[in-house]
Formats: sequence, structure tokens, C-alpha cells
Amino acid sequence: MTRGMYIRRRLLLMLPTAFGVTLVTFLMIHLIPGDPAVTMLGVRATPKAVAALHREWGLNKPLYEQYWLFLTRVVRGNFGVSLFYNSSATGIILSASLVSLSLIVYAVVLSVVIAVPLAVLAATHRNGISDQAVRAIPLIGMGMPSAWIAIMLILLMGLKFHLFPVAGLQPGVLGHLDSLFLPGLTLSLGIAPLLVRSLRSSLIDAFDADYVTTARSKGIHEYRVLIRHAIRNALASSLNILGLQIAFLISGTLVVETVFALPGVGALMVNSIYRRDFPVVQGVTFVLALAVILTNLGTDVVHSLLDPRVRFE
Amino acid sequence: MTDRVNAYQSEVLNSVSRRSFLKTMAAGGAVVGGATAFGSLLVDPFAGASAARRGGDLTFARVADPQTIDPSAAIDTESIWTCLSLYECLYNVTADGHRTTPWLAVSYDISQDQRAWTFHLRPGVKFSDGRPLDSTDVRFTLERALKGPNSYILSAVNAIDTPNASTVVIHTAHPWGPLLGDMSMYSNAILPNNLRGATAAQFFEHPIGTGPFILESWTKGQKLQMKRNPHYWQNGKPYLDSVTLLTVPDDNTRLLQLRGGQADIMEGAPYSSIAALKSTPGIDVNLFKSSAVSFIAMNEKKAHFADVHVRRAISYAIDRATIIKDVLFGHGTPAASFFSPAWPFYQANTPKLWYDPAAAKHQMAMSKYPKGFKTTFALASGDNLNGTIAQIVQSNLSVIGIDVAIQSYDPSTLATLQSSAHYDMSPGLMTLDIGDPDENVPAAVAGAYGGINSAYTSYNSAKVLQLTHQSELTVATAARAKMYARIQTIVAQDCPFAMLYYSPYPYAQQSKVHGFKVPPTGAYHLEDVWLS
Amino acid sequence: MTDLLLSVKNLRVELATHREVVHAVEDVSFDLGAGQTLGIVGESGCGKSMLLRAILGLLPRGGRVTGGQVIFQGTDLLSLNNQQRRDVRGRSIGMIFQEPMTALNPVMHVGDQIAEGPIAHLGYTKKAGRQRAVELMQQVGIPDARRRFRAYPSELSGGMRQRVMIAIALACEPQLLLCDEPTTALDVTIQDQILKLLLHLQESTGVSMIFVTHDLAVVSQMCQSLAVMYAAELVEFGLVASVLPDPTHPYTLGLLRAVPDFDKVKAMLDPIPGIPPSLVDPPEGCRFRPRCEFAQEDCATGDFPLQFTEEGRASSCIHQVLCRNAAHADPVIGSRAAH
Repeated sequence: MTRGMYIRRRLLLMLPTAFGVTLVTFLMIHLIPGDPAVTMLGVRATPKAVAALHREWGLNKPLYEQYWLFLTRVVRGNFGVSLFYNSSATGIILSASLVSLSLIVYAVVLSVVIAVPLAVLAATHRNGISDQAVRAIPLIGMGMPSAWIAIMLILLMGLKFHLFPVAGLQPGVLGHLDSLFLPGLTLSLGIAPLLVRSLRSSLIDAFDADYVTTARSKGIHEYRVLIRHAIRNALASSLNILGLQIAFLISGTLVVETVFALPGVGALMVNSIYRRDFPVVQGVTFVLALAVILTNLGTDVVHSLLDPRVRFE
Repeated sequence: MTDRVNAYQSEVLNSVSRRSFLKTMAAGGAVVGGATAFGSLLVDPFAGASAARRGGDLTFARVADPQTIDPSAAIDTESIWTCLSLYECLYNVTADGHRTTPWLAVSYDISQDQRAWTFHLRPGVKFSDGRPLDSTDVRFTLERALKGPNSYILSAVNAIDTPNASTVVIHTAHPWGPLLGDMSMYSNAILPNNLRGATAAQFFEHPIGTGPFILESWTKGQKLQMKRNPHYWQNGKPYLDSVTLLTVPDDNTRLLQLRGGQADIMEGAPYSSIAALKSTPGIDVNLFKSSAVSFIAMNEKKAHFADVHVRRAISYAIDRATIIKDVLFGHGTPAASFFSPAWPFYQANTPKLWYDPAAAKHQMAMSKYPKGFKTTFALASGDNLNGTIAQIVQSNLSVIGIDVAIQSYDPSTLATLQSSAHYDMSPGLMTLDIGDPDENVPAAVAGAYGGINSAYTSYNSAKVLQLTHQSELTVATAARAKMYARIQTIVAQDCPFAMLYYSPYPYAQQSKVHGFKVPPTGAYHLEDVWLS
Repeated sequence: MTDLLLSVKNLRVELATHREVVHAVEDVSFDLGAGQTLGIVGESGCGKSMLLRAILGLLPRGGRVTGGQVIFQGTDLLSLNNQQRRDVRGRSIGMIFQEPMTALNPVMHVGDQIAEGPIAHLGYTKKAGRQRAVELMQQVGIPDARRRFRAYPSELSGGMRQRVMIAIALACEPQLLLCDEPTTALDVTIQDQILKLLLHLQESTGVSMIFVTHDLAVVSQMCQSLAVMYAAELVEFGLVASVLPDPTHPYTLGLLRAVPDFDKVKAMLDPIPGIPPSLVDPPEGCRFRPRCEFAQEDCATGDFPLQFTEEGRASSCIHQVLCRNAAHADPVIGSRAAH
């Protein structure tokens, strides 16, 4: 199977999965008590007003009809209207997704930037002090809750040195880069330790591998041996770890988004569940499911680009 | 009004919970001495204006996003307080919360039969689009509000006349004491007639009001920006060029933003941080006197709580001093009346069913359950403040044989359990938005008449109901004061709520911010704020 | 005698593992003339690969040279700094490894792997390097080289991979090619093709080779001279033409007896009984003594350095006569000697 065919098939297969996830969410959120009309109208709402709102939202229809309505809308790329904000759920989800996406991309880039040099340092000084340090310190980091790391980073880099904004999202591309740095760093400090350990052991394997000896026998610079031969192979084998971490991040940005007051999908999802904002909850679930599936697919595709031995089946 | 979920300290959760049921407030509540006086217009409307500096942008970190900027649809505090910077009412609430003061109206006359109120509009008031305010705008606004979720406040209104451009006559079905207070209700903030021909959806994209600020942009879930209204009627105001309202649900993050200079004012300063903030140079802490009243609602649909001796025993068993020390870090006062001292007609000598283990045991002995019973305390998950209260109450009640299990629900589920009377005990919070207790009294204690069965307790007292009606039908203030005092006494004795405490609005701000005052309603006047 | 290209003198290599130090090469010396091919034979683990890797300084982790010299074109390679050593590697001395599967980088186009050397040493541009790689691929007999340039090792057969390996080693036209069992991992028919290719390339380029193998047949096909290694030491050295028919060390004789010979029907191979000694703490005396059929009491103590016997030959055995007689009596080896 060619890569193109493989990607097409995986994309087709992911649709039922994504809809399956939305169906489960749909049933769960409708089966627990709680009424979005109360959110909107307050406790003094008359039953008549509540019923009118239910009619307006289509909540008086049978569940299967409501779900069908959701499906037919999603097919057209429309998640309906947010019951809470009374505006397009698609727009709300999109803007929140962009924030979370930028955050995750930032975190992944930062974690690679952090992990690769540390792993190289550790692997090239195997069992030396730097290796021991690189292996031990991240373990401490992994044991710390991300909320705590976030607050420490804010105190240090935001309040003491005024390097980055404390929280919130500044406008513009530069503003985004600036204000997403600390949250991105917080997330990356959660991923980097695993990545360092995995990269270090892959790198050590690579350094002992015959092809590295071959590369050295050519008399090329050690730097090139490291970059072109050792790291590339090590990255290929550590990529799956990174892919899993990203999938985990997608559903796990809530704490960081909360601490840094970022309007991302994590916060949107939790708030929308509490508000019983059904269209947004369903839309976010759908987007998150797609994102996790696409991340897995992306990991596989990138892995196949890095390692030609990977076969598509 | 009533809010079963005292949200606030609970990070993300509360941004939801507070919106979920009527409006809540960003702060707990209780009067701490020395509540700051908000310059009453009756005394000196523009006091301090000469010292104020013009210009600058104010960044204000708040707990939650507003739900709407349509005042008639607002039910949550963030929406209400935002709306009142964009639109204004005919009357406003005074700094002590006890009376109303003319705002877009300058005066009123009441007819002989007390069924026609004639309001004289303030001359020279313009909307933010430059067009003058006239009586048709008022009539349109009130008629529109009659169709909104807050229409109960206008239940007595029969008809609205506009004899001329500067005069509005409101006809009520019967004499209606709270009318002036009702005119200070946020849902009656004045919108331009017919929304200038736009649909509501279009209009509230770029709303027009008489308020000191104009909406500039609103990124939902993130921030709302307002700029100066050049046509504002108060001379020289607002001082600020613009205001940015940030949505920052996490207490710590707001605190850090304030300390980092990213925010000028923070809403809901955590009580635990107040002492530290007070000693931080460049930062001022203000505990504004609030209308908030905290209590524990007891569901009389449940046999245990139908017994007044059980309810009294619980009230006697609760150690308010410990709660105020542990939860509010001392920034609150114990409550006896379900009226806060910042409400009109507050009765200071309301019977106090306060911590008295002997009295509690005595009441239990008189009850049908002298040996005690098992029950539950329902609260919103993540609501740390009420979680601590629940633990203290649990330990207090074990002394009188009541075995309390604490149960957490997500806020929406909890609301459903409360409104369907499927709970035993649950925390509640009331605030008052207008210059009249009638916004709250029917809903809190008048059973079915208030629409929510006495704040979901199903408390029903014929005498209280009759007094509630009577106080509404009475215009004379002195007479009403007597009726409300009576209501407070009866309710305290019947004890549908175990009253807990009155707490303030805790705000922290940069020292360069001046003139930021919060009245008991919580609706601050940003037109008075300036930056040095 | 041709010009001397490489002279290894008293080379010692240690390999440190977790707990112990293996003396992988002990006091090994030999010379190699320009254009010549030297075969190094011995059992697995005798140190022949370590010897070869030590020449280029490519010892595995834990390995180090503890003594001796490797004089290549008048320079001691062991005294070079990293930069100078890199200048020799690939440029003057190329190397081919045993496992073409693992010796090639799995995630890099084979053409790029070939082009790396010329780009590093000969100042080729990326484009010129690619051009050179395609030429080399054609030279080593890879059909459709232009297309195969973009192949990954996993897409090639074992023989093709070894041809790529050869192209890599010869890319900068080195004077010396080190071959570490280059055909061991290949099918017999492919082995033959690769050996013929190497011979052909040697003819056209005049490159010298050191050929590490455990296969005496390969040695007789490829090499002019032969060094036999046992337990980290050289035990016999000489021209292939003189050593194979007339071994002067019992271990060489044992190796010859273990070779299947299809010309003369030999019913059974005679494997050498016993196992080689531990190189962590090698026994005193002749290291082959425990397995040697000719061992005497005097073999148990003392050192057994290579003793030069006649022109260009050397052996470490002090009872060579016994060995030679036995060889001559052997129908297979003896008949060869008669040729």
C-alpha cells in the first residue's frame, strides 16, 4: 500500500471513530441532569419560558432526532449555535482550538528543543555526571504538578524578571508567541523528561549501531555523524513516545489553560459541560477526537518519513 | 438573588456555577467595618473630580466572562456589572445600599391613588450615538424588559405613558412600594427606542447606551474591551480612555497578573491572600461592604427538615466564628437576618440562633428526632469555599447526633437537584441588585409566590406571605420598615435557612488606581475611576 | 618486495566490559606492501576484527589501544588527533563491514551515504557528490544506479547492500581497504560475485587490502599473504602460497583440516577440539596448548612470540617440525603441498 492510499484509508476510518465518540458524549451529557435553559434564564424562569427556549433550541425533540440534526450539521462543517453565547459554536470552537493548537505546537517545539540537546549530552557522556544529572533531574520535574510548575515559572520569569506576561493572551502573532511561551514551557516540562529518557536510550543504541561506525569510517565530522546518522535514527524511534504525549496534551491542556487564563478548548469544554451548552460540548468532543486521531495518523506518517522501513498495512 | 452555589473560589467551575442560577457574585459577602463610602449623588455628585487625571486604559481581571450584554437578559453578575457600564437606569442605588438616588431621571411624582409614577428625565443626556434620551426610549426599554427573564421585577406595571419627550408615566395595577427600587434594576437599564431599528442580535454587536463606556470588542471567554463614550452626560467623565475586562477564572492567576502589573484591578481577591496583599507595596486591598448573605438552605420537603426544632437545632449547632475564621480568614460577620446590613430595612435586632450547643441539644430533644439522623450536604464540585464550610458543619452537627455526608455534584446537576427538591442541605448565597429588598424577599421566603419555593426550601409561612404582599402594596417607607422587620423576625424564628455570615467584596488594585468604589450591589461605577 | 604501505608494530588492544577487561589484541605486528592483500584468519572472538578496527581507531565503546604503533605511509595513526584521523578515514583507508544490513544507515538514501565521503574529503559539492555516487554505484555493479541512488538500504538485497558498502569504502580512492568479513553474511553465489568485484576493483585501482575472514578458501582466492590469529595473538604469518600447503603452526593445520574440500572427497571435517582460552585472564605458555595434539611439556611456560623461520615466514610454535610432518601426511593438505 502506498503512503497516500494508507492516509486516505486511515482518514476514512477515523470518521466512524470520531462520530462514535460524539455519540457517547451526546448520550452522557443528555442523560445526566441539568438544563441549559436554567443557565440562561436563571432560577426564576417560568416553566413557559423554559419550554419556549427548549423549543427554540430543539431540545423538546427526541434524542435521536437531536443527534441526527447534529450529524447533518457537522457534515456541513457546522456545529450549530452555542446555547450559552447565542453565537456560532463553530466560531467559538475554532478560536479556542487555535489557541490550544498553538499552545501544543509551542510545547512540542520547546520540548524537542529542550530534550534533544540534553539527550545528546547524556548519550555522549554516558554514565558521566552530566548523564546522571540529565537522567535524574527530569524525574524530579515529572513528579511536580504542572499547576505548580506554572506558578513557579510565572513567579520567576513573569514577576521577578518580567520576561514574559504573567497570563492571558496578547493579540497578534508576536503577542501570541510571547504570551504562550510560559504555558508552552510548562507543558513541555511535562513532556520533555520522557522524551529525554527515550531519546537518550535511542541515541545510545544509535551510537553503538554499525551504521554509526560506518559513518565514522568515512571520516566525516563527528557533528555530522551525530546529526545525520545518530539523531535521525533516534528521533524515528522516539517519535511514538512524542506522538502519545501530544495526544495526551490535547486532552490535558486544561490545567495550564486555567492557570494562564488562556481561552483554549480545555477550559471551553469544562465550562460548556457545566453550562450544558450541548452544541459546544458535542463540537469540542468531535474536534478533540479528530485531533487525537489525526495526531496518531500524523505520528505514523512522520515516522514513515523518518524511517523508510516502516510499511503501511 | 438567591444563588445556591456560592461559586467564587473554585477556579473554572465557578465561572459556570455563578452563571447557572440567577446571578452570583464574585466575592463572598459580609460587612467589614469601615465600608468605603461611595460618593452619593444626593450629597455631592462630582466630588473629587478636580483631582482626577484624564486618560489611560484600565485592565480589570474578573472571575468569569459575561454571559450577555443585553441587560434585560442578564442574570449573572459579570453580565450585570458589564451592562451597567454600557447602559444606565432611571434610578441608582446609594452607597449604603439603603435607598435609591436619581440617575437618568432627576425626580418623580406619585399620584394621589399611588398608582401612577411620573418620572422627569435628566435633561442633556445623550446616547453614545449622540442622539438624546427621551421618554420613548424608556417606554421601549420597560416594555422589552417585560418579556425578558427578569420581568418579575415589573409584575405590577400596567402601562407606560409618554406625555412628552422628557416625561414618563408608569401605571401600576395597585400601589407598588418597590417601584423606585425596581427602576434601579439592571434589567431596566435604558436602551434606545426600537434598538435603532436593528434586531437584538445586530444591536448587541455594537450596542448603544447612555453609559460611560462603549463596547469596542468582545472575545468570548477572554476579554471585553470598552472605550470612552464621548457623549457621556456626567461632565468630564469618564476619566479613562478605555477599559479592558479580562476573564481570568483562576484566583492565583489573577493575583499574579495584579502583582505583575498586567492587571490594575482584580476581582475576588482570595481571602487567604488578603493579609499578604495588604503588605505588598504598590497594591491596595479593599473589602467593600456587600449585599451578600450566605446561608445553608434546608429542604422542608424532607421530613427531618420539616421539623422546625431540627432547623433551629442546626442553626444553634453551627460554629460561625470558626467558619468566618477558616473560610473568610476573619473577613466576615455572623448573620442572623436573611437581610444583609447593606439592604434597605435591615433589622439589627433580629433573633440570633447562633452557636449554642446547649440550645442546639435542647431543640433536638424537642424534635421528632431526638436521637439524630443521617442526612446529606450537597455542594458543587470544586467549590472549595463551601467544601470547607461543609466540613465544619459536618463536625458541628455530629455533636447533636446528625450524621452528615458531603456530596459533590457538577453545578448544573446540583441546580437540578435543588430546583426539584432532591437535596437535604445545600449552601446558598443572596445578593441584592436594587434599592429595595423586594427583589429578593418573595423568592427567598414567600413560597410559591416568589416562584422558587422560598429558595428551594419549600418554606411556607402564611404570615410572611401576607407581609410580603403588604410591603409591596405599601408606598410609605416607615410602614414598610415595620413589615420587613417583622418578616426578618419570623423567618429567623422559623429558620428555613441556617444563616451563616455576611461577607464583603474583596478587591485588590494597583495603588495608581483611584476612585474605584464598589457599592453593595456590586455594580461599580467605572466612570469615577482614574489612574495616576 | 614492494613499497611498505602499513606497518603494525606490537599493537595491543583492550576491551573493557561491565566487569572485566578483555585483552583483545596482544603484541601483534605485521607489514603490508602497497597493492598487496593480507588475509587475517582466526575463529570468532580471536581479536581479528578488533585489530582491524584499531587501525582506523574505530574500536567499539570500551575499547582502547594500550600499546604499539600503526604506521601508515610513514605516519603513526595512533598519534593523530581527531581531525587528522578523520582525514585518513575514508580518504586514505576505507573499510567494509560484515553486516551490510546494519552497517548502512536505514534512514538515509544509499546514494547520499556514498556521497558523504567525497563531499567531506574531496571538496565535492552536493551535486558533484551525487554524480560521483552514481558513478561508483555503476562501478560496483549496481544496475539502474540513477534510480537506486534514492533507495533505502531496506529496499536492497544483501549483495546490493554490500556493493553499496564497497562503493562507500572506495569513494575517495583510498590506498588501503580494510575488509571485515565482507562476505560472511552473504549467500555463497553472492559471496563469489563480491569477491570477484573486489579483485576487479583492486586490479583497476591498485588498492591494498586487509581481509579479515575465517574462511581459508577466501584467503586463497584473494590474498598474497596470510596472518593466522589465535586468542589475541598472531601465531603464523607468511605468503599464502607457502603457508596453506605447509602450515608451521598446529592451529593453522587445524583450520586447514576443518575446511571442507569438495575436490578431494573427504568424509568428515575435523573440527579443532576444545575452546579458545579466556582473554580476560589468558593462561601462561602457548595459548593453543590445551587444544594442541603436539603439545609438549615445554609448551606450558614462557612466551611464544612469532619466530621468523625462512624468508617472509614466521610461526610462534616451538615444535614446528611435528606440525609440518603431520601436514604432509594429511592426504588433503599434503596433496596441495605437492602441487
